[in-house]
Amino acid sequence: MKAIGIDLGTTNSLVAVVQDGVPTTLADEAGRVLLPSVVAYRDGVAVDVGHEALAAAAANPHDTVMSVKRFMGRTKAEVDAEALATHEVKQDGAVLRILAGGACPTPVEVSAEILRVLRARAVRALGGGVTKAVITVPAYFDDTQRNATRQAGMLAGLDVLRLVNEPTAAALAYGLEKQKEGRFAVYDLGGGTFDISILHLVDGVFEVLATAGDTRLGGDDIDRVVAEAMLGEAGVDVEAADGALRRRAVAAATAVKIALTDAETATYALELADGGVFTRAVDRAELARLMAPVLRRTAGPCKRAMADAGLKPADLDGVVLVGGSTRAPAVQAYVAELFGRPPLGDIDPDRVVALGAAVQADLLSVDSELRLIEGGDVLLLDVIPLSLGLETMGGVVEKVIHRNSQIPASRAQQFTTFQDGQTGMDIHVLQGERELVEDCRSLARFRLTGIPPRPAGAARVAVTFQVDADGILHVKAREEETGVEQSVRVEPSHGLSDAQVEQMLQASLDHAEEDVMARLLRTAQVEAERVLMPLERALSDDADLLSPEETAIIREAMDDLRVATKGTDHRAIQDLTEMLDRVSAGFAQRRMERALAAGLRDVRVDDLESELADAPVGGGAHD
Amino acid sequence: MNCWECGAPVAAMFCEGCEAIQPPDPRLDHFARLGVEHRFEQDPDALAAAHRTLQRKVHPDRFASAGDRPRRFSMAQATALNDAIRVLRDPLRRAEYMLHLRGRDVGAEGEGRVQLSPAFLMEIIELREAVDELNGPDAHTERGRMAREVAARFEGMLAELGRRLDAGDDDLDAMAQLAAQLRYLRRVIDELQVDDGPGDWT
Repeated sequence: MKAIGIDLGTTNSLVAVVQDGVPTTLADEAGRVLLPSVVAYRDGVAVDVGHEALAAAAANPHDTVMSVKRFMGRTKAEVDAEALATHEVKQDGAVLRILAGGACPTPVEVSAEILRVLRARAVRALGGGVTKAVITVPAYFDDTQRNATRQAGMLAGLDVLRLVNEPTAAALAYGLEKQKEGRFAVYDLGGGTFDISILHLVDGVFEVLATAGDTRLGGDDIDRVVAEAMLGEAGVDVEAADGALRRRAVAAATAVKIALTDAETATYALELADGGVFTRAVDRAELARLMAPVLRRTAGPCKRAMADAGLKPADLDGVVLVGGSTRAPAVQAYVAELFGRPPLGDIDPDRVVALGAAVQADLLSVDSELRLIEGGDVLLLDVIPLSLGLETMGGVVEKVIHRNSQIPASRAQQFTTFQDGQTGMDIHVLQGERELVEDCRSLARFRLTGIPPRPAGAARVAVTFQVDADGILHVKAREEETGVEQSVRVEPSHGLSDAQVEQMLQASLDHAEEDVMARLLRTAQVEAERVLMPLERALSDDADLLSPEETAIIREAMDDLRVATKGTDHRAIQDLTEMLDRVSAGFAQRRMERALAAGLRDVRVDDLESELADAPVGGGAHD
Repeated sequence: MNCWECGAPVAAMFCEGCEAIQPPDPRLDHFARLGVEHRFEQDPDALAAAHRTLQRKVHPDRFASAGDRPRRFSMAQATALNDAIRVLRDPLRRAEYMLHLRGRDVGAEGEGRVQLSPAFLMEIIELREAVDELNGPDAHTERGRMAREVAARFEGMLAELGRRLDAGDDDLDAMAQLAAQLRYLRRVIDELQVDDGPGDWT
């Protein structure tokens, strides 16, 4: 049974698998490898994922969820302002929900929709039995964000073998393909996150030396600053611009950015709220100037990671670029300046992360192909991205396992009681680099009880942190005199618990058939409406083109279809829609001819054509 | 020790008889665990290579589809190896660990605490004052210069400590004093190093 690798990206997602010893990305039926990480909701259910959802996003901003990765494992207070500007969210107890198209899915559920599509793609390519997966996450994702990603996998019916850091996955794919050894910096500027990792590849071991990053910095930010600059020039108050206009402005910025990857100049074109169109030529130099502040924010993490790895730029054997945003010449120029060397450009930055995920998935499978290949049997030695610590007196965090420690890792710390006769001790587990509790992320709290009453400082408690190879933290507190102990497997202290996810998963399995039926029915009803409405108008406009008998036949077919749409049988609706389409085809043809023959400008030929185009060709509904 | 799987006596990570992975041997110190010589002077590349070679054998990824027990032991072995390399990779930690093996804990609280010499403390206080007084346009360069000076001093003292450890010096008090001063100097260096934007990698 094949294990797959999934790159669950902010902007695009991919799935890859090792086939015949070679990691390969899988394409959809139209041959497209990238799946836009976009989910469209209508009437409370997810109706489209990917290209279709993206195409409809500008027109239906309130029905579409984009860049859901920015919401993963976050509370409303933690989500960045840009993401909030385009989505309406509500904090439902511990759970954040995104409001879209009558639904209020959690980010985990939205991500699961994307993962389901990728899984289905793999099932089609590999012929069933796909349940195991490695999913990539930004290296700088904290525990809560990682847990949310894992839960999305579970919800999509995947057994998540491992979460692998994106830059590490990229290095894995890159190193394996090039069979190169040495020290590499992987500069990963994705849609919504930035990661820098320093790796040492030698003797078939990929050792992560250090990693740093910013989970709120990415190509989306570049698009946003360009969009805001252009809106400003167009005379639009950026703060007051509504969601739809913002989205169009950002989409136009994305288009210009992509165009400038190859061209020296491109045109920024934006349809304004009043229907007018704002256009403006943008050249590479100007784009570089606009994105410079965003790029400068990547310097800090790069320096930190290099310092943690104990390296200077001259010690590196290469800088590898990952993430679609690194295609921009300005990004490449900036990286070259920062590291004092041109980055290596011979890999596809869009695919490399998914390929690396597939490599790790294969290596973790029972029937690994790569293990049997010369040079393919590699081992990944990873680190924890953020320090783990405990709250001590005065709200200060004492770090127990430092960031960039290799995992698995285990460390114990001694604490003593601070009051005479103290019999309990609160253990508060935190993640982050800051000194104060309020600046770090709270991961868990528990209380060790049963400490024998002693003078202050006399009772000793050893708190042991253990991080396993999956990066999951277990904490144990033990009083040394009596041996009384308490332990927890750390779950995020907000968001969904695994039990809740299990419940949702069970519910989704229980209701799977109903859900599919409901979706098919709704789609069929919409299709029927799309045929009925224009036909009704045509019948009143061009009644003279039909004999009374012909009119009666069409009318009857229309009535039958209308009755069927009130019911719940999507098949009947599909069949009757097709029937109506067939009996009215001659009528449509005649109307077209009349319009053309008359040459009348006001008989909107375009409309007629689009009516024809709208009529379903086959069964109509599809899933 | 005997193999948990086949009962044969074992003295390695894997049973010679049935090849089953064993739990980490608690009697091994970090040097023995990595199979390197018990001394301060170490080739960093050789240390890293020893760690890698052993991780290739015991890392949990190699046991992803093994039974519960081998998986647990693999985790424990890999954790012990990571702990060993963490301590030995850093020269100061390595020196402190060698003192620890000889019964001296530099970081101990309470009774075993190493008292820094008054002369050293005086010197640090003066250094701190000098840093606090830095201002004006040259403050940044000046800070960098001081950081380099302290770093050079650190390296010199560390080399001395290493030499004495490898020479079998018996004056544990003097060596613990050196180690404690080195700890202090490292903090000062960290404090002197400021985050000053892109391009500066020092």
